Amino acid sequence: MNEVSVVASALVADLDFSGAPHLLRGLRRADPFIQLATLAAHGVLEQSSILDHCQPAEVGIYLGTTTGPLQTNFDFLDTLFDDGEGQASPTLFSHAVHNAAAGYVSRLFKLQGMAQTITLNGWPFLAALLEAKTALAGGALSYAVVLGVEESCPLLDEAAGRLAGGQPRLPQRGAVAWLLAGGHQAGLLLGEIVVDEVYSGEEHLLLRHQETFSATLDLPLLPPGPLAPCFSVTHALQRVAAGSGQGSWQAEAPFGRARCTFGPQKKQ
Amino acid sequence: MAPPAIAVTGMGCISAAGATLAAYEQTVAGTPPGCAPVPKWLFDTAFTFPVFMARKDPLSPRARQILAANGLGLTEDTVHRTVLLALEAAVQALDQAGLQPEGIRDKRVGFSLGTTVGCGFNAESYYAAWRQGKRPDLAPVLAYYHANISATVQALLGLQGPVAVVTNACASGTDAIGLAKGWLETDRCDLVLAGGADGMSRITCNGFSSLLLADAQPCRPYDVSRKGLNLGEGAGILCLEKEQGARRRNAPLCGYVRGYGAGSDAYHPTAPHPQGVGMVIAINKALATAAKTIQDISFINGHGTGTAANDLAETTALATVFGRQQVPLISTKPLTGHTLGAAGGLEAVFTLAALRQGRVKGSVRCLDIDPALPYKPLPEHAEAELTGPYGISQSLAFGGGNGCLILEAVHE
Repeated sequence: MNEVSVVASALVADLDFSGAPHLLRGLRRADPFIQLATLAAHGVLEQSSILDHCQPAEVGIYLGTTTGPLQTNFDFLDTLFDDGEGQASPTLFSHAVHNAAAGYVSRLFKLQGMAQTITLNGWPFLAALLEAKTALAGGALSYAVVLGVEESCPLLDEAAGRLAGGQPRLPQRGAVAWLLAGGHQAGLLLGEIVVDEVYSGEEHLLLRHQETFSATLDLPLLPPGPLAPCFSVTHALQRVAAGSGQGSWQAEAPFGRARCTFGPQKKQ
Repeated sequence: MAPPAIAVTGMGCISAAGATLAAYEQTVAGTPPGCAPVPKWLFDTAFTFPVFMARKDPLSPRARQILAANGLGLTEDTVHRTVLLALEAAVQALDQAGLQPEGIRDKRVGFSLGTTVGCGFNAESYYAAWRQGKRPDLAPVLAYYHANISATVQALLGLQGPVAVVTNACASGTDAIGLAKGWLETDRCDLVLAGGADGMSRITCNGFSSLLLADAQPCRPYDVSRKGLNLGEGAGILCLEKEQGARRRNAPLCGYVRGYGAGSDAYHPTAPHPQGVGMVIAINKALATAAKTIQDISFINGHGTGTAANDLAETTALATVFGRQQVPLISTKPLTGHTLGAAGGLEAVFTLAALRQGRVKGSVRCLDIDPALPYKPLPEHAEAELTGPYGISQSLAFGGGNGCLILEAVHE
């Protein structure tokens, strides 16, 4: 089995295209979920020269999400309710499919390997990382862009607030991307990844109040929500890369546990 | 070290073509199922295009018993129809594999299932009220989290192990089986229930209608008169184990998942690449992982939706890979409709069934093959003897995803 390295990582907290205005034309019909995924993918690909020398079919895309483009699903329903059956928006329908974002990333960056979208209640980004690592370790791909994408949804935010007995949850949207490489590449070695989800009450999945993170180095405090583990593990990765070159990250919650280890740093 | 062989020890399926594999085989041998507008008992809709429905009550007595015995508070009323279809197919697959849930609670049993409808928010009445400023009871929001079919079916069966819901649109079922193959090869679990499920949905009906992809008549894949697809619903699930483990417990062997490959078109949000470039990548990768060549393949169960673009792209890809070699190609969607996330699971089951029988009948309602197709399918009134145990089951999807499985049948 090949070693797998993390070549680059990126965090996207809002839809700021000032660093990549050339992407906007290709995204003119895209929803925020797709835009977040594209910005994150751009964030890691611009740090690397792989697109200059790699065969498109050797670069895969793995995207993890808890609820996908759920707001687009509701936007489609709005057209169905307001305009009537037979008048619903085809664009919104095709963009409400969970893998629409991976399709955009594939098309905009000309990546023709596996495009896998995984939907999980707990830690879909970690699950996507694990699948990408398996594919790279087995030699099925040379590189993988691994994305964790979460879009805010007012309906879920209101439900979370009501369930918690308070105000609607503050909207959270964002994305992370890691560029993984198989074989003898520079970067931080990706070690063990564990994703052990257990069936849990829905309130734990909606609120995520009891989810905790720990890591070798201190992590920033993040508001609870499905985006928190994506940002937390990426912060952990970046701190390890900037520091000792070795470390781990762990999440625990009523719906299971997840773990990721990194290092040592490899240089070419 | 070569990865372990991945055996198929059980198969479960439910669709308009039959509520079990035996019923499907009777359908193939007899009269094709009919399609009709969405029945009133499911939902009211102005969508008049015909659809292929599984039976109204998808659960067998055994599956119903399992659902009734769960300690999770889940009932037929609180889980989506997609979950019921998946549960039924999973119970069938375990049964054929000679396994009962109670007997494998000490095993790591993974669930890798594909879906499209199942991961959506389908409680339209809740949203309709909510957007008007009302605040209905939260039950439909909480039930939305049971739409994760892998976690929910695993919990209903009382099993533990890795879970993933693959949401790659119409290739979800195929890719879910490919994912499961990797889990077993890397020893992440002892067995996996892999495939796909999707129930009929008003949202999906209107989505395909808006895209002008639905045919008002029964679909006719590969036929020159084809006008689009018919939606369907169902579930198809394989029970997968490492061959060594399966043989150790004297499990019945239906076949093997020998190869899997995937590739992307990088072309358009909904339309396939005209040359089928992602499909070519997927087939070639699947052949490579199976260590097989095109000469080894005796049967191709195509995606064959009946849309103009899909059938042309798919047969263009097949002509690119197979050249002049003409392997029998059919589509089973005239029997099931396009079951979206379930399609790859159902068609993997159907592919193994055909390979085990050693012969295949042509695509229903493909009477006049479209001369523009570069690779010719087997038309309705033709039959073909299959020359070997290896076949292909392949899927194309929105977003430009393509997946391909190389399956090997073990003859009874």
